[in-house]
Amino acid sequence: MHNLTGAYVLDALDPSEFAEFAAHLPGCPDCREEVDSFAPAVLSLSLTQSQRPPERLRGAVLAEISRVRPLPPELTGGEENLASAGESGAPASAPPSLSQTSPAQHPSAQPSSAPPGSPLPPAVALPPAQAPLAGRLRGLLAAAAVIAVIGGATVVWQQLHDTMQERVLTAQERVLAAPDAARQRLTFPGGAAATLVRSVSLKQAVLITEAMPAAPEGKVYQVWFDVPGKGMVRAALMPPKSDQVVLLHGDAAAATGAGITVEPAGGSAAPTTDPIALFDFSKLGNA
Amino acid sequence: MSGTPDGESVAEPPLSVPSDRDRLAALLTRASRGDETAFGTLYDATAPRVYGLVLRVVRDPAQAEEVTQEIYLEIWRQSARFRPESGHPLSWMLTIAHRRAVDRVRSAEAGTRRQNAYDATASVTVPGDLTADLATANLEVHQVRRALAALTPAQREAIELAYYGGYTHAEVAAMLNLPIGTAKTRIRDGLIRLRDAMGVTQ
Repeated sequence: MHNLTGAYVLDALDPSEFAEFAAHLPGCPDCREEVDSFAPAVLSLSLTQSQRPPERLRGAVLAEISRVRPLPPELTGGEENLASAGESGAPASAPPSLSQTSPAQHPSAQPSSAPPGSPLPPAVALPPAQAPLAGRLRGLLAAAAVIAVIGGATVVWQQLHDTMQERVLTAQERVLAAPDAARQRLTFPGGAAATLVRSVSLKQAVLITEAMPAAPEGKVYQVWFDVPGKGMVRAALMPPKSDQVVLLHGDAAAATGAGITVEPAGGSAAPTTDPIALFDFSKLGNA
Repeated sequence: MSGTPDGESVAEPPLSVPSDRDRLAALLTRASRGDETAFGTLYDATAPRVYGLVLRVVRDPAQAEEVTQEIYLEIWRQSARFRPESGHPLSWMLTIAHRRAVDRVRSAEAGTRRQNAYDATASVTVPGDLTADLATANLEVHQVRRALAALTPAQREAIELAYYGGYTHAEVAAMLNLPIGTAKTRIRDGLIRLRDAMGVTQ
């Protein structure tokens, strides 16, 4: 655990390691001291990368902040800390559709090393309470539980906050730790599984995959939100790796479900195949 | 206002790190009370550092611009949460910036595109290097470069893949054909050496 300090300050831990280390840090003065001591070195790593942004960015930033109220200071011992920590992840004015409509997909440049495979058969839903959790997921949930369940949640959060040098959780971790996070786990024949976790208050959802076989060569798993009035809306392309924790793009609170389809590399504008998995948001549980 | 093309902006002299600490902290405090002018000054003082780092990580200028905008919005909203006694304001801002940039490259859509970018640029100089060369005249950069030179090539490679590449230590280990667990040790050893080298030069 102690030799994770370097990877921690460079944001080079995966979500479950990050959660574990963040839980370890408040009780370990040695790690805290070392993490603090690395701050100037980390600062120096970006010094050599300075680059002036396009002029238009300044106006865009100032226009955006003028529409948003700064958060109040944290009142020590206050009840609102946990809530504001969750809230911090979702800038109200960040357009959720931007990354969906981002230009320049390069289907031809899909990594050619992706091994061939066959599409997964449709998934079978398990009641959330019965679903066994893989170790990776368990670590995340345990950390979320540390924050959410312990009676002195505010104190725990405050300690994390102090020792993390105001570090913010990744968007994925905020969703998993949200008090209203609800989930559904689907399993596929052969042992693969996909779990969808949604926080209505954050308007965000995360898809966690375990042991998913690679998509067939030249194909990709694409995730969709089912949005009333809009149909299936692009939410993410899954990276060509088996175990992923992926933040979905778009307003998860407005969606009534989500699906996964197999699409040509680079993704499609609308689903072209039948879904291999469907999540019904009315059936999400709190397990 | 004549905008410069995306990602091809001329390098700006890097912000002086230690001397600006109090000034940046004061600007953050004013911003937390809703002072938009102070925030504009804060932006001017820090934008090359934030945008440069984000561009280095996400590589795509259009996405870097988008992410930088999100970062400044978050800095604005969180400005009251910065505590001067806990560290340098720029460290705080760049921590937010780096996490956001890493979030972006690890998310699905960017993942596919960046993998392409990585394949395509494996032997090509990324924009940040150009800037770095142009900025060498600055004394501070010079000192940092001297400290960076204290790293072994293997340590530097692991740190750059993690921090600039946005890869996890496990991914770094796989990319460098190292046994699992070796990369995190190498990253830590490198940071210790960099820290100590900087202590000597200061």
